[in-house]
Amino acid sequence: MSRPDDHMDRFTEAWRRWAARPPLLPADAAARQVHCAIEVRRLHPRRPTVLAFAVTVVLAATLAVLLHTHAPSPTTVRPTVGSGVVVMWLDKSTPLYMNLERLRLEKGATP
Amino acid sequence: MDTSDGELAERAQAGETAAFAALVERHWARLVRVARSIVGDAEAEDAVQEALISGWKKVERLRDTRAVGTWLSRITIRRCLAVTRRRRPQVTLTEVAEPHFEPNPGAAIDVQRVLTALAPRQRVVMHLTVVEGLSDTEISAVLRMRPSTVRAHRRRARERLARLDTGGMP
Repeated sequence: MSRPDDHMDRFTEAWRRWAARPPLLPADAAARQVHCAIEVRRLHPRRPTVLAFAVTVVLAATLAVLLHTHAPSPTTVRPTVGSGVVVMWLDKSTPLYMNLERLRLEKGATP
Repeated sequence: MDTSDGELAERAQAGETAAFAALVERHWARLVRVARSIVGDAEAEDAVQEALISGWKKVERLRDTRAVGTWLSRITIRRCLAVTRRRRPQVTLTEVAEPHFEPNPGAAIDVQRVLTALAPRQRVVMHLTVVEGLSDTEISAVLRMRPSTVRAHRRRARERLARLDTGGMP
């Protein structure tokens, strides 16, 4: 009966032989392929990445401009309110609308 | 006289793609060997090529250019481990449970099949030990893990192989 060590030795020997087989692709061919792939990537950087970056920058810039130009400001923009609506500014950018007309109608008054 | 690895790595860092290709040619067979042990024959060479192509972008960050061989091993092993993670859900229990040593000492051992019984990191550590003959310190440098962790992986791998050896399946 064989000992476990014999099995292990046999296996490691088989493993070494199995791993040492020459690659299907010879080293010089592999080097050429890697070289070509690197050159292609260097000369033509991946467009999706560049395009995605450009689109992100444009969108971010547009959003920033829109937010800046349309931001409510109590000093420059007066909110349009109907009759019976009172606007109070909690701070420079937070209006509080109080619809007194609606409250009046809910209590049974006629418009 | 042959250009040293360190010199080629420095030229690659300076943007010379031919120098990087020379490194690929020099280390190709060794990298394919380790890849075979981790992902098997079918995917090994593709995995090494992918690792090397993505490695080119990172070569400028390599600090010790003399250790470029170790670095190439590391990026290849990482890529191969990623391949095993992607494919893990496809491995069935029967595939893992079946591999065994042939009881007949004269019969050929299906190495690839036996290796599927080991966890990917155990395969890496065992490969670097058994096939490449590296010391624990060298393996810990390649894998960036503590020597005690290397020893733990190896011990578990040997225990697993010993169980297969005696026919005891998990």
